[in-house]
Amino acid sequence: MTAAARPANTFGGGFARMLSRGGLWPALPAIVFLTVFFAMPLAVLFAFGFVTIERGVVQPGTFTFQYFIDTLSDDLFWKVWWRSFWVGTVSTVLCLFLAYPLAYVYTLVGRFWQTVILVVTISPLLTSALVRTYAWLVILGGRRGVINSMLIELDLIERPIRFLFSDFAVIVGMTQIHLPFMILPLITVLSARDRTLEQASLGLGASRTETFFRVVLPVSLPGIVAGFALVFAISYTNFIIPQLLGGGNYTTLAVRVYEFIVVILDWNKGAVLAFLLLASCFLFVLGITYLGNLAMRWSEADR
Amino acid sequence: MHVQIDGIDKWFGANHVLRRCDLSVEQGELITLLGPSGCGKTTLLRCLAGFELPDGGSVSIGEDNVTHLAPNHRNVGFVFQSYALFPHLTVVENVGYGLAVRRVSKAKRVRRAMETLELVGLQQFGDRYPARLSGGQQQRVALARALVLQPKVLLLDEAFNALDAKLRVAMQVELRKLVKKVGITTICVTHDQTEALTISDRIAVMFEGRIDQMGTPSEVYERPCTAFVADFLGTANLLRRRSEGGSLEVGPGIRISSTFDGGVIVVVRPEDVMLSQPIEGDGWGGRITFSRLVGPSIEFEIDTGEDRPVRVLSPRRGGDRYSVGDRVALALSSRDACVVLPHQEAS
Amino acid sequence: MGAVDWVGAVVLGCVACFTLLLLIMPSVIVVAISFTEKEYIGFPPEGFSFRWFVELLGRDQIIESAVTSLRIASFTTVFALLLGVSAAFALVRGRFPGRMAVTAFVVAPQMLPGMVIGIAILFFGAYFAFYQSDAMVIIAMTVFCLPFAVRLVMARLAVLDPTLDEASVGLGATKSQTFLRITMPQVMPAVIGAGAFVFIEAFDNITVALFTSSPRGRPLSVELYNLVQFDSSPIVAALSSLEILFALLIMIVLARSIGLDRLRT
Repeated sequence: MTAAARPANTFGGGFARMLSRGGLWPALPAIVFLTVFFAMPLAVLFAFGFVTIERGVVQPGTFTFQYFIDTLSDDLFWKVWWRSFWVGTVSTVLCLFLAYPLAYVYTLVGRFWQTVILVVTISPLLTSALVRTYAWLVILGGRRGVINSMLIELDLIERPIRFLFSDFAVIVGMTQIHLPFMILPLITVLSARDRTLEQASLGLGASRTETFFRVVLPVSLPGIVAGFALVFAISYTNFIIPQLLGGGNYTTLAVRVYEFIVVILDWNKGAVLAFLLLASCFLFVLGITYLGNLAMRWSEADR
Repeated sequence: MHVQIDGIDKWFGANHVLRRCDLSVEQGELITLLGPSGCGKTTLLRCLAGFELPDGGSVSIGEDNVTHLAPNHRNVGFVFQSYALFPHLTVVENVGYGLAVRRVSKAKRVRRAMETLELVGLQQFGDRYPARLSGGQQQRVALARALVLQPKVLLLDEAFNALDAKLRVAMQVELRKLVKKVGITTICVTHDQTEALTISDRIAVMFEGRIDQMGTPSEVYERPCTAFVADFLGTANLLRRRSEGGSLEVGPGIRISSTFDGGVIVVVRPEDVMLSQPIEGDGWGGRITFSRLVGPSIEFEIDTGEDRPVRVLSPRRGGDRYSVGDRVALALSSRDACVVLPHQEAS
Repeated sequence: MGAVDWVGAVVLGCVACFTLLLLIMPSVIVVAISFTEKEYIGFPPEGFSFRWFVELLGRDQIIESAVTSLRIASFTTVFALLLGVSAAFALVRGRFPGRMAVTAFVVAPQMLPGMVIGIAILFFGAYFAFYQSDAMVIIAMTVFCLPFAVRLVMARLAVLDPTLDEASVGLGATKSQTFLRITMPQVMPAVIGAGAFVFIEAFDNITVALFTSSPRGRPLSVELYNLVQFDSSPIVAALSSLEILFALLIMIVLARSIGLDRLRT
């Protein structure tokens, strides 16, 4: 009791106390780090769209909108942007159609199969996107590609079909590679849904199919919107898959950014494109969320 | 160890949760803080443990004023409502935790933990993790963990809440036996009046941040000093009456003395009212409007013309003579009624 | 069930099975191909041998880049955990104005593609004559991975029972003893999980590394990126197989430490 008679607010060791009951400051290192290496670099990246750079050095007093005007008035930009957009959209839609049944089945099967589905879904996320893209190079390849060699083996075709270096290859690759990002949010929402709603629907005389479309699907809309927005964003900004599966002449907006910065070394144009890529991506995600909210409001009112 | 609480005040923002509470607990006594949720009983207990610092008043344990002492220097045992057993430690490690942080050698703390586990009858569960114990076992581990440090006071916060009804009664009896055997001063918090009546030496009934009454179970049951206490412990007929010149009339012909004058409430326990066949004249009585069987007794509701019926509990043998619709006379011995002030005027 | 329901159930089952196969087949094919005896990629693979794995280990450039990647991943993991774990404590347990805003800021890098983070840091470095190097990859990768660490640890902290800390203090432990003996052991699974996640992301990542890594001393992911484009021998398949094996090992670590269910976040 003697040595222990200290007031309540000064007991305990420093570091631990800061972590367990402190205010803002354990987060301070992270905040400082991100301010210096995230917020400031982003600001610089966008600034590079407005100033002239020669040999990697900023030329003072050269603020201009010229790079934006040039880029936006270039037909090629809009062509490339259109491809990014529609390839991203198609692959996201395909992703949704493939992912939803699996996520729904996840909520119907027993513990063992749930684990199987989770392992199969999550483990690709732990391998690099490159390895997964490479697999598609192998599968869709020329004469020795997996599909072509099987088709030839079965005497269905004589000469190999050219799958690679096309929109088709890019869409197939993107769809498969981004499947986990669609499945996981759907599983989360579908697992949490209230099963009594379905029992109520069945009890009111609806068939299972009707129940699925009238109850399960509307209720899982938040997961659909989340998955759709996420998969669209990562498809739209991915440059590895189009580059490898689309071939040397295949460009999307994200590929252009890479080319300008790494190959052409025109950082001004690269910065402008990166900015436009990011800004348009955010707009689309906002749009998807907005449409999703509209759809949810409608489905609530309709029920 | 003697525990003394003097004029404790506690505010949560604009909420005055403890209003100048005084409490004095003798060495070895088992006290229950009883009251509805939100009455401040848990806050009072947490002030004793040091988890809350009072805004005014003082807390002493034994000879020491501990008002501003940190919880880890008070040496009080606290059993949480959820038991708060550490999920990553085994039963022995949980019980030995307080010794480990006091740098007691491993051999010694395992020995003492096992001794204490034996006291609560769990010596064979030492290697289990808390998740693999039943609710009653978890509660005993929590008790052992508090007792192994030989605390000056043992504090229990709604410790029987998580148990099912039958086990709860068994554990209450067991707790009382255990703390009496150990001889430790114990303060429990509960909102369950039967629990309070079962285990306590004395009960402190709390309402809206105050201790309304403190006394042995039979005192607070038989001589409640506020209408709230009377109503919260068991069932009571609360009859509004006017008292003049030191006495009042409960019913025609039944006068009792009163220390207050003016509007008062007469507390009458249902089992203290006697039923009889009505006699001609104007005695206290009414018509039975409802009856039901309560274990070995029958409860009647009798409409006496007041806004609320009078409830009467009669032994089954004898009570079964009356049925709904009968007119009956009511009788009451004057020492079974007690007079309190209405709630608004209670200070 | 009516006829429509039967058709619906069959369609549902078929698509689900197809998706399941689609998820796993590419990896299986790559692993199968890596055991071929031949000089070229073909399916089904001909023969069975470890020759491409042996050849892989004989290539100094690949070994060197693997070492570089391990170094980058280790540093990134340490930094991301140091910054992330303490930030998570502040964001869950701290009481200060603007906590939501700070949380949003700390997890913000997750909203951006790795490419943008890589380019931004590349440009920013150029300002201070700080050029592509291991250090730059580590910094960029830490920015990129920090949100994972913060979110996983925050999720665990949020479900911890605060009365356990009170119980510990009530039993006589100091704040630091409570932190070391009660809080940390319970947060540890999330820290290990976050560490594994960050490590594998930092090891595998290409989108950040491509812009920030030095042309001399490339990390394995960038090396593999070049191999995929310019080398058509099964050696790439062998390297990919090793990565898949590595991922499975990490998967087991994660499943053991935080449970598969929690990986869904």
